[in-house]
Amino acid sequence: MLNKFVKISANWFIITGILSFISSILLIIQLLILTKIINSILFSNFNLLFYHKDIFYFIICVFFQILTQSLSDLAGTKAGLKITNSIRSDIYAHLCKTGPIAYSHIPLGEIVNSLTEAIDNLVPYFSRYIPSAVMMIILPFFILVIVLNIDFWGFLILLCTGPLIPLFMALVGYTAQIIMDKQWRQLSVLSGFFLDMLKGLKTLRLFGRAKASLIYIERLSNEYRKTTLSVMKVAFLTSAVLEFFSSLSIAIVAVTFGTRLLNGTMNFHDAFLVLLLAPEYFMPLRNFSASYHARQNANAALVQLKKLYNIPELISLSYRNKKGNVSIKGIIFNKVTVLAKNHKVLLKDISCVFLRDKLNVIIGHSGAGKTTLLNIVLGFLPIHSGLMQMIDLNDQSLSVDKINIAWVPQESLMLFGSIKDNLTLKVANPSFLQLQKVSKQAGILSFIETLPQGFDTTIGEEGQNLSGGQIRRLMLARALLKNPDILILDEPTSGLDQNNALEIINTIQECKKDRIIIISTHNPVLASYSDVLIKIDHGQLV
Amino acid sequence: MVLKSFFMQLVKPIKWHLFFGLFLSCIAALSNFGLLFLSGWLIASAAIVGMAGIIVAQTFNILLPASGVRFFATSRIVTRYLERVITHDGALRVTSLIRQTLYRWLIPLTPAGLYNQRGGDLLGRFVSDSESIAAYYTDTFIPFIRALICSIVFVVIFYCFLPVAAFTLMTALCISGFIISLCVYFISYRYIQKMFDLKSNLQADLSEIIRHFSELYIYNAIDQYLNKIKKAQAILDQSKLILDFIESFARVMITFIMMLCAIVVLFQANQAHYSLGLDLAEIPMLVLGTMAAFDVIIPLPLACHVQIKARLAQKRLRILSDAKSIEQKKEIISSVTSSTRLIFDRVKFSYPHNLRQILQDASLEIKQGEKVAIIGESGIGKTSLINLVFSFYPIQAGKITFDNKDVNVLNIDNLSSFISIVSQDFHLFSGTIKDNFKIIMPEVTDEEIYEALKIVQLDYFIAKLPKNINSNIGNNAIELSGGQARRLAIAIAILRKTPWLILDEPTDGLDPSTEKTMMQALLKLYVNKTLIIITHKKTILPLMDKVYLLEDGYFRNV
Repeated sequence: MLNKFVKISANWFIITGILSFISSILLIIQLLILTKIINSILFSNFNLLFYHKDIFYFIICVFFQILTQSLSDLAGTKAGLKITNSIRSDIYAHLCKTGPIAYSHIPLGEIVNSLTEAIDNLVPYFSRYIPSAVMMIILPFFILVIVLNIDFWGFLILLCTGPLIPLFMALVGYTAQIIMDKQWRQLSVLSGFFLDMLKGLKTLRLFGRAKASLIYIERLSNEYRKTTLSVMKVAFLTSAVLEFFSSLSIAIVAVTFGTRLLNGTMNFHDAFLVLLLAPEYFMPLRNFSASYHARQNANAALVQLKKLYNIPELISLSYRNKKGNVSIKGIIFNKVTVLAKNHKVLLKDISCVFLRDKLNVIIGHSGAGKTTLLNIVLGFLPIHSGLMQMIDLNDQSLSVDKINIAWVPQESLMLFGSIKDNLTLKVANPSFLQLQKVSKQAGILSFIETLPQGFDTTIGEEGQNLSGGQIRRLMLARALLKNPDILILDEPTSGLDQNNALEIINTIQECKKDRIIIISTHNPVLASYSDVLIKIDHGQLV
Repeated sequence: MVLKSFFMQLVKPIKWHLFFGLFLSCIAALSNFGLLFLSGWLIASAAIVGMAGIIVAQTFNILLPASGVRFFATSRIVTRYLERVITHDGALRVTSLIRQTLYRWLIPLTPAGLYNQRGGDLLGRFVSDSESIAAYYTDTFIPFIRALICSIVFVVIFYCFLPVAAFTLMTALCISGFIISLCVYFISYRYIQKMFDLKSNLQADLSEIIRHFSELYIYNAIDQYLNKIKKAQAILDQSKLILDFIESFARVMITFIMMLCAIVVLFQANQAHYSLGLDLAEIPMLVLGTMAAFDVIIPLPLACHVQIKARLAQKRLRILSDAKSIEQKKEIISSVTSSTRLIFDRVKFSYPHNLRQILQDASLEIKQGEKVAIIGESGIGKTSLINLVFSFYPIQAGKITFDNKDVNVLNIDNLSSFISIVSQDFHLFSGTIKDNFKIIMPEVTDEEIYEALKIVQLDYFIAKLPKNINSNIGNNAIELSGGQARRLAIAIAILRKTPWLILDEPTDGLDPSTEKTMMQALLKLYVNKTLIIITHKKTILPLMDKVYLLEDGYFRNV
């Protein structure tokens, strides 16, 4: 799955691979020169200045080696970022097809975490792990060839220790992976859990459980630490294995070569060169091991992302018209049945008509299926069987992409910004007169005018500075600003007193001309004002 | 530095653990140095002795340096593994401590202090800031202290062999360790800060978009909002690339200085061989030693980045601790009696950052055992009363007392053991229905839960659920309707069996018949207790002893 993404920025991977390879070659040349210089100093009795040419080459070599290394790293990061960007875009596009009902069961914190932290965790996989994995195959092989030309025993030592490492690391890494998956889930749970706890902090305080709930934080944090550590203990073994072989080979090279040098069966130049090359032989393995976590993190992140990819696409209608004022006459439901994910019947054989210029009111117990019915009209849920049809004044079927719809949910989005921002959602750009007109229609203009900064007054997060009624009116004004053909209101009077509710009902009455208004409510007064009354019980029409 | 003192204070309970990690880390670095240093000498001297002929060679004791090499190799293997385990354990302990501290800070700030703070933002704070600060230990504290300690050791060792080479090494280590680090720190600071702000905004925006996806979708705003996120992400990526470049460039600069230093040391050792009679075998040893010494310097540029991140994270968290203005409230009530009263005495109140006066000169007295309804127009401030009873917000004038004690000085946990409140913004935790009871009352039994659910008329609904009270209600009680969620909260509140119960619009979303049944059950349960209902429903009023109307900032007895 992860490697599938590599194609997206194949060019950058090729660049980073080539640069990294050049850098490695330069490194080896540089060690060759250094060995030559030292060997000559020790055994030819010339002054160092005699070798100024070699020293010059050496410095040039070093310079280009670090330059290519640096550029290679950069290309790797670029590759990673390009891939993560494309994954993000994919998921956003997918969410636009799934709609909100489809992912309502996933905690919000988890989704945000997946889209930010989890995707960020993929970057090191592409920028470090893949390049180092390629290098791990090429470079040691290259060094082995050089060492073989220098000294057979040195070659044998490296040959024996080298290939064992990936084998051991794979063994250890596999175990670590299993534990790692578990850890990631816990992190996910924990991050969702904390947001949940924070949201509930006021409730916990009211119930005198705030301090006691600290235990939950402590317990989960400690659980998290223990799981993580159990992964790390195993995961670090991979590095330990590497460390073991790398230290061992240096020690073996030093000791056996020392003995052979003593016996005069080897020269210093070769011995010193192998000693210098030995750490470099293990360096790609070491880099690989260091980026091994990157792979585990990426795999775990991928599990999270798959969860988002696997959200079913539920959006069935897409109202894209922003202008409105088409000649819609009505919405006809013909034996509409809607099933939940678990095949529970949400609506059964609903047949009804919502009409233009009328107040269409849906009533029923809480949980009877009113919101589901609204979701069908909004297009957030697919119809299992039956038909929903929009018709124009000539009784011809009307395509949804010509219809302009607006909706006031029970819990509206309150932007942290001015009242104007909240009316326009920062996307529309109405004139001041339009703002005044819709605010007046929604019965909130007089309040806005009492504020010193008028429409530019800042309101807090979730409208903390406004009362429930004021928020309702503001949201109604937002909907009216769109001049919709279909206006859907979910419980427009809940939380309002009778006078306020009556005023809102009157306001809504005045808005019904030239459009279809659909309201779901418990309020009997509102129901009494209805022109079309639809009662639902247990998903069925009464 | 501020960060250090904050960090040190925080980790005091585990400081020995952390120092042990540092110690192991130094030993690992020194072993690495020893291994290369000694190997270089071993090979060179063996070669020189070997050249001198078989007789001299036999006098050379290779066993001692060889066992030294083996010792360093073993020690490097063992300490590197232990170091990693110990330091990571330390980092996780630090994380845990930070999380708890943060939560503790937030308790008194809720809800008034969290004004202006966005939910998604706090999540970002919690997860990434605590991790950033914890990373300070493994990725900044240890590398820098280790570099300092080991550098001194390296220079001293060099000094024993060749003072002038020691001086060269010291200069090179200082330039690469100190000056380059400083440069990295100052160049990167701006970028990291920018990324920090961008990222937290991005997370907050994203959580807002996801939460209100449907509304944005219907208002054709979703593409624009997502594009805004994508744009922010692009800037974030660019900064990340620049930072990567800075770090990578600094790292290669250090390598360059290391190689230059090796050449200079080689030159100096060569000179010293002629002038001071430095042993020939020590020349490669010093060169290898130089290269090994820089191993402790290489991680420093990255350490600088981590340091900046930790500093910014701690700065952001500290704002919360500084905002902790409410001192510990000490006053306690032992029990409520028939003479206990809740009194609002000429209270004047408006929310911070808001000009609208909620209460002007409001007075109210509620006696133990009374059933009181508070009515009023919507938005008049009925809900604010709840915030005031628990003194979540400061009042501007007047006094609110419970049992003759000012609520401002009453311990909130103590007060909450007498008064249960179900506010409109109550929260149900993600988990099962039973979990939600358990988090408030760990000792509650299933029978009690069912009893309470029956009173709030949820028994029928819950009996139909496949797992009954063990059913998951999802995030923000998504599986329940608004009215069901509120009644579940009431069920939790009544099980606390406090003598006072305040409910905010308890029957919202109920049809008249269910509403009546529920109210009757409630009144039966609270026969000798106090029940205050904030409502706009006239149907409830005949059942109550007293009804107060909140109007224009005053209470009126109706």
